[in-house]
Amino acid sequence: MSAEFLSALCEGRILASKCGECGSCSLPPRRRCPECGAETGYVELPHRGRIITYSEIHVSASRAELPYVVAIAELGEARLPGIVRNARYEDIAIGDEIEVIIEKRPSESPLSCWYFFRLTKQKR
Amino acid sequence: MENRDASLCYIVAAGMSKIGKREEDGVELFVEAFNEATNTIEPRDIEAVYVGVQSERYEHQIMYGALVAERAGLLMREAYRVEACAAAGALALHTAYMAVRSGLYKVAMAVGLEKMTSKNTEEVTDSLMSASDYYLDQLNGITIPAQYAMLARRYMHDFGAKEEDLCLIAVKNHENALYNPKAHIQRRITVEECMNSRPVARPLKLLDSAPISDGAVVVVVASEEAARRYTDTPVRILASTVSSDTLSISQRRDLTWPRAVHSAAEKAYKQARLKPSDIQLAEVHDCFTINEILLYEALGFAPRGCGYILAREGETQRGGKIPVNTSGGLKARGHPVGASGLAQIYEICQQLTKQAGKRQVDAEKAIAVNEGGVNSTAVVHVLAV
Ligand SMILES: CC(C)(COP(=O)(O)OP(=O)(O)OC[C@H]1O[C@@H](n2cnc3c(N)ncnc32)[C@H](O)[C@@H]1OP(=O)(O)O)[C@@H](O)C(=O)NCCC(=O)NCCS
Ligand SMILES: [Zn+2]
Repeated sequence: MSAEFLSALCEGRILASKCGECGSCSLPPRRRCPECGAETGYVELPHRGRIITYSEIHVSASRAELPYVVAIAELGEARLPGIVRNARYEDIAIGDEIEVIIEKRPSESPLSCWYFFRLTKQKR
Repeated sequence: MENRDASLCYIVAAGMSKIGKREEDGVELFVEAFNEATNTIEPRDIEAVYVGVQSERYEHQIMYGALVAERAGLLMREAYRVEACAAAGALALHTAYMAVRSGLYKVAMAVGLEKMTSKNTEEVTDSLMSASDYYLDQLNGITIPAQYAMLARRYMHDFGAKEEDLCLIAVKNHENALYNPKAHIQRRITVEECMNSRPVARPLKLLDSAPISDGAVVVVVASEEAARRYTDTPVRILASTVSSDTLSISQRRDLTWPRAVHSAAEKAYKQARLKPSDIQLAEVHDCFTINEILLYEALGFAPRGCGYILAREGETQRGGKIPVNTSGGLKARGHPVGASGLAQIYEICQQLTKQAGKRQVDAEKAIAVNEGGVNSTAVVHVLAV
């Protein structure tokens, strides 16, 4: 179902699954609820949410530019991790608002599109 | 489960290589540990071999089960690798335990090993990252240290712990390692030094992190009847349990609650018919300082949100109410990933059989928590003499 997540993302939608029985939401979407094993359905998530935790990475092989900031955001009922492009560690607090920005990737990259977070409103 | 059944598997021998940056390759480190373990048992009695290794990225070597059997003179035995990132070592013991408990074999060997320092820090970080969710975490460049850092950030926010509180764990574990001749890092540190060490994934710093290490550990288990042939003082395995959680911490409802550890510990306490207050010694998975605090809570040593208070009060030092990581922990004993779970078991055996020298504590019942991913697969053992 990661394929569904990616194709929806390229259409500008963030797709999660929601359990019909216990109501828990998962990303990327999956057919069975990880919590209770019941069947799920799709839900679309809002593009704005709040940061529930974050870090600033100083040791990594995956990106040339260090450091970079990552966070987990609560989008409606689901939680999505991502890179926060426009902030340093000192700029962020738990509860701050972010927007998910979806961007097209160059055709040679393995993913045709991906996303990042933009800090939109500080809580303080 | 009957308590009688739970006493049917014993540890009869254990050996551990010196942990650190080693010249030898992984299988040579195994031989070093094996030679120590087989001082007291007949190696040819071993009927099955289970080897925990995290990654083939370091040595370009898989098939470690067969390779170890070959070097140990145990060809034609059942021998294979088990994997759950940093929980591989304890998982090997769990597999050996199941083999003996099922009656299939009388003597089985668990091995954990890793040769990490052949690669640089960036390559190691990348290799460890394969334990996280590919889409959610790897594609976003979220390293394993960053996952623990995000747990730390949230924990500090929710419960009022300070970065200094995390450093207390590092100071304690470095202190313990001074008395462990096999430890990787033998250097006393202060909270101030820890606070000033360079960031790895903020708020976590170099001195909040386990080092990159090489090492191997061997633990041999046996049925009651076989155990009697070797020793009058075997260590009993009262419980051996496993639970799993989501790979990505983002998919957990309660970020700062290591649910798989709690679940495996609940099962273990039940199997062993013990409660948290019966435990006198613990080795827990302190790959980053925050995790030792989270595990105090998941094991029931401290109420939710109060793990850092237990550390502040010094109750987990040697001489405290519940000494934790007397070996130096992953933090200072070192963290050869696939070996660490068994290094915990090795330390507990040394302590329970009164061979821990200057770091000896008085204990008869102990617990070990080894986990892989970010508390994604938890393996818990309860041991007693
Ligand atoms: C923390 C970390 C990034 C440091 O690596 P590094 O920046 O390459 O550090 P270096 O190898 O350059 O070491 C610099 C010095 O610090 C020491 N050192 C390295 N890591 C250390 C650690 N974690 N704790 C204490 N000292 C450490 C080294 O011995 C060296 O000392 P020296 O100059 O006297 O020889 C690395 O140890 C690491 O990634 N640890 C985490 C491993 C991990 O994620 N494990 C899996 C968890 S499940
Ligand atoms: Zn459900």
